[in-house]
Amino acid sequence: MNDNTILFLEGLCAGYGSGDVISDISFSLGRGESLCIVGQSGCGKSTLLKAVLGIFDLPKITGGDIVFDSQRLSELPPKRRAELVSSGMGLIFQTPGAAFNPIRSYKKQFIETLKSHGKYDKNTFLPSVRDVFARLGLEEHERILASCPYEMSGGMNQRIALALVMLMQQELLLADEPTSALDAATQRTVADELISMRTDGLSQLIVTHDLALAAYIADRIAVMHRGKIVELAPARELLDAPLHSYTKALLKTAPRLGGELPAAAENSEAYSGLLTELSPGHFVLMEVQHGQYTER
Amino acid sequence: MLARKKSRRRLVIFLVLAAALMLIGILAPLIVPNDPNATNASHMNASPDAEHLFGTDRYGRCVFSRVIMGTRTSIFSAVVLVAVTFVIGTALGMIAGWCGGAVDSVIMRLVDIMLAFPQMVLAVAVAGVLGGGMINAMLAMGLSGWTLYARLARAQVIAMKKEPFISAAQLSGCSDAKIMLHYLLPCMLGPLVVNAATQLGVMMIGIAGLSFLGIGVTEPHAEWGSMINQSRAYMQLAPWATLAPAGATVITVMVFNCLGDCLRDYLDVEAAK
Amino acid sequence: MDSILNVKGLSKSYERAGHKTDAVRDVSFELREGEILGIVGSSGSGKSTLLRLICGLEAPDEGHIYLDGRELPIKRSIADKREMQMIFQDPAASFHPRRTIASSIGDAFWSLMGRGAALDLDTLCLEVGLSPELAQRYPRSLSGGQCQRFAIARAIASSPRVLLCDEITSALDVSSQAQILSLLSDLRNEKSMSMIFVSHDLAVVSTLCDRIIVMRGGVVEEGKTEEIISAPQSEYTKELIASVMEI
Repeated sequence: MNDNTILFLEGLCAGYGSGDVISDISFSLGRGESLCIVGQSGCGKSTLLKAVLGIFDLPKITGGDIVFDSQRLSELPPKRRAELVSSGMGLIFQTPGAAFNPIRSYKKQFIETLKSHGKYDKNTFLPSVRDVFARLGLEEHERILASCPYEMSGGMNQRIALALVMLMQQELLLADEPTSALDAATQRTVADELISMRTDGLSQLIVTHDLALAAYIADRIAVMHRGKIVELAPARELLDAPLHSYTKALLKTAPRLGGELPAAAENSEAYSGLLTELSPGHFVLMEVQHGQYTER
Repeated sequence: MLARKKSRRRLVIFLVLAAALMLIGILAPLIVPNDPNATNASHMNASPDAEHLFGTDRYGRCVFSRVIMGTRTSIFSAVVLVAVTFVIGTALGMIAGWCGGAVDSVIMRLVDIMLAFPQMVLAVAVAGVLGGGMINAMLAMGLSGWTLYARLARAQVIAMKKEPFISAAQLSGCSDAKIMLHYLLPCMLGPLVVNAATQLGVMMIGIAGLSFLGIGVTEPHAEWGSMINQSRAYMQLAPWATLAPAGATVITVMVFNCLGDCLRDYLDVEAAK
Repeated sequence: MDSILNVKGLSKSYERAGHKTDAVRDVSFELREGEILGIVGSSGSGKSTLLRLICGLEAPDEGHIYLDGRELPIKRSIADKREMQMIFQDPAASFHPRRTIASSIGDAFWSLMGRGAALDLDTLCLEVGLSPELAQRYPRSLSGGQCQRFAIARAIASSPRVLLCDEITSALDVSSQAQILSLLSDLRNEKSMSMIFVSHDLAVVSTLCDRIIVMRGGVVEEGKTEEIISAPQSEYTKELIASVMEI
């Protein structure tokens, strides 16, 4: 871990009271880096995101630690922790517009949110909104600000939520299936915006089941299965040369344009072992057998 | 979890209270100490004593016995009234929502007409025309009472009409009646029943009010509203004859209103789970 | 291949807040026997409305639907309903929330086939790759993928010849999606069912379907899957292809 790390998870375990849903999750996220966590529904990827955020009652962290911006979250008093998290991390949900009140104008909600974090400045508000909207390719910022979330399409709401994250100058974006509720063309638009935000220096931790989205936007990809990371590697390396058998099976299920019918493999096997660095930056979950690590 | 336990406990308490009141109503003829209609010229406006717990009224009738008999009238009429309006209103509302078009327009215009008059004013007018009597008072209240269920049922049906499981039932050839009874009704019963439970109290007050005005249940039939009306002229002489039925009305209406509220809370918590 | 379903000049518009919007505009196409036909388009392009019109859930403003050359009336008979079934996007909402899956499937089956018909639920469950015990559960205790496979089981219980699929994999993760896609492919191969598969996801459609119709209110382009993917004619199709994120 060094100064260039924005988020560092150290053997994080969390669950909902009866056993851990995620166990021994360790990785670091560099500043300006985009890490995608992929896996089937129920693999614990959303739980991981909620545990990092820590503003919901559940899940409870049962072990390990989170280091955000060089501060150990477990050492902070709860109030300070909540402040740090809400001013430093932005959140995007799967349901577009879930973060907004549907019948209040964006302008009111933007100002309210900025004020509550002491980031509102009357003189610079409109110019900075115009600036951010322009960077995200949103035109007519005044018309958008005056309208209400219910008047906008799902894709629009998702883009405006991204704009708020940029306005808040948050350093880390947490996104839970940011494109799954959108149609294909809009998915691409939102994905392009995530890329341009990363270029502007926003670190991203994105949870998705969509391998194509991960391939498109991620620097690194982590594959999760039954609460564990089974493989973590630079995106191209993981997609082109997967090492873990679960990753290989998962990749076969992804449909490719004009390709074969994806293979349907039912996989509920639980893997155990240690996340081991096989080549620089490429981690695979390996089991210890006869004193030797063996690949599953 | 805790909220669920708490709301369930409250619901059980009020269910028991309501059941006790209903039991009193059903068993009224067996538990009254004196004949509620027997007059006694030597015992007029007598203050409460061991024989007449709530004293007697100006005809010397036992107020306690009359209040107990009145329980029967009030609860019976309210329950029947709510049950009938519930069934009619829900059925019409569901038909309107499901069929749409002209059927919907006709039923909903009828609802609008009924709602154009305040419920009590309409009831007074109707009861006045029909004359006194319990059945006529119930008719007068029921005339606009069903609209509440009709509007609620229609809104629910319209919201659920395009749910995939309803479409699937249509595609598998289920008849309209079957879809309404087996698919739509079970899914919307919760809010409707809550409404019905809260309406019990409203209907009781309504019937007591009509009787108080002299156009509902009439003498010598024991009914709280008419008892209050009869005895209020002698308020200073025999306050018990007014206070006892008034107190009974307040307590009964409160129990049934709270029952409705608890039922709503309980179903909300269940739904949230 | 013979054509099984013919759609001619189908149109439907809705009136909302005073002004009329065309949901489906003069759509004509044919579905051939044993073929999987894909319909793609972005949201609001009228794909779902088209399917609801075809299976008789809604009445078209104009146009005709022919099954085996016979025109289908707006109000379908039980025999017509037996021939054509539909599967929906939201798997959990596809079943009565207060009934077990088995009772929902039974209800649909006996409504279509008559009281006396014998329903082999166990075989049906195995056909869609689920254990028969799961059918005794309520929909909320099943995963999206499981619900969707039961929805397919309900739809194929009466052995229809045409299956209409409305975004049936959009709410599922890639693994469940792959299972559903291979299940549909098996049904086509083994029972020679004809299907219309509607989706916004061109990648998914291109792996499953023989032919593709690109829709935007009306039909924009129609052709064999390989032709549409490799040599799209219209601008809209080109945009759709360009928006696909490749792995």
